[in-house]
Amino acid sequence: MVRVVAELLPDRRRVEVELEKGTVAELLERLGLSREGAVVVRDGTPLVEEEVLRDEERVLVYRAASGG
Amino acid sequence: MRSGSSSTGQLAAARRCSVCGAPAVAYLPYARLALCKTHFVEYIDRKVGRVLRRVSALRPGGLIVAAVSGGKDSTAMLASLAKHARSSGTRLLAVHIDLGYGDYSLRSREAAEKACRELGVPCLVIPFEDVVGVSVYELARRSRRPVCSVCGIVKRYVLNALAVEAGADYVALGHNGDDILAYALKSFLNQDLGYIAKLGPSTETVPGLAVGRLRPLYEVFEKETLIYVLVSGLPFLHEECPYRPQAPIEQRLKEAMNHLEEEHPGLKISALRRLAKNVKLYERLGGGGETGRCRHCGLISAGEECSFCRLTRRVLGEPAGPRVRTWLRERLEELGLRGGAPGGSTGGLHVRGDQALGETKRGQEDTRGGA
Ligand SMILES: [Zn+2]
Ligand SMILES: [Zn+2]
Ligand SMILES: [Zn+2]
Repeated sequence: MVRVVAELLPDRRRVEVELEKGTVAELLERLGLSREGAVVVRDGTPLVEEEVLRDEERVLVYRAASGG
Repeated sequence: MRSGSSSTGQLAAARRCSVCGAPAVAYLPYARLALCKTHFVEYIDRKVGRVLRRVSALRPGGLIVAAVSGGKDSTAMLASLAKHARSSGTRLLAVHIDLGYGDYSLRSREAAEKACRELGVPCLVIPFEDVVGVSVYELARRSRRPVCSVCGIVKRYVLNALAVEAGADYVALGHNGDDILAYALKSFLNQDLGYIAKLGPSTETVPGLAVGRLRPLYEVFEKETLIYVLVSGLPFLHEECPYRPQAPIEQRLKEAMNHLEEEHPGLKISALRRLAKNVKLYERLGGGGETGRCRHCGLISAGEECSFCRLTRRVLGEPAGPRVRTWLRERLEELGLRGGAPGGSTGGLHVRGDQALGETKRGQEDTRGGA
């Protein structure tokens, strides 16, 4: 079990999510976001979907379809 | 990545760049490519370059006006366009329209100006309310129209007027591939086929009346423009416009397309390429567009009055088109961007602040701006 804090942009909403495998793909699925329409960022670096998030990690989740 | 250990052992990069083996920042299922920062940026720049060459947008001494909002798409567009412009000797002028939406507009303007500074591109800021004497919001309120629709008329008008005054080859817009598909689908649902005809990588210039639009990000998706600005370290504003409707239909169409893309990678890129190939067909089906000339400002218009002049005349009692053109001409002179271009603006439009003059002269003089 991996627990991550995701800050959603541009909504500026913070959510805590508990994940089974802890992958980026799983996080997006839990947030109801399409993999094609969102980017998860750790320390300024975009992560690919198979990336495994660390327990207690904070990431930014950008919804791509906005703020154009 | 942190080098300290973690019990789950996820330290190896999840994917490696297909080109060089460095950790990947993106995987693109439609291209079956994983790319590191460097090779991702290169890949996007190549896509942009292909579009620019296909529509012959680059030429030594040419001028492209690039509309920048401060958001991710136009920032990515400007960054990539700046590289191609530099290597081809094409001049680039960024333009930001300050729409006067309070703090949102202030932050947008700051982001746009900062990006332009970092990219070394001259930036013209147009404070709409100062130029026209009324805010976009007021125009919408007094004409009883949605802010977004008035905002669209204003942006389209001001950008075209600037490009005509500057004798530019193109106005570059930050529309990405997802935007274009959403507009095309929406137009299809409305059977507004004439609008689909305008959704190619570029639209045509009508000499003296309208400068063609250019969409350098035609084959670049929304997610990619975001990754592009992030890995390039460019400043951008990731915020919704305060006047955006809650759930615009374009948003839903994008989500639907993304779900389909997940199941059928490559669906979006092939749809875009087919659309680009077929825009001419839609032109015929849609029955042609506007090619008349506005009697107030002398720019393109469906009837004898363009939509911007009609809107401002109804609200202010006099059309604001001529005033906007004069203001733009003065700024361009200050920037040294008038009269220098080949086929440029020396023959110009003699529309004064008071009224449209030289109606008769213009017909002969306005041969600029073509091709
Ligand atoms: Zn690489
Ligand atoms: Zn708006
Ligand atoms: Zn007009």
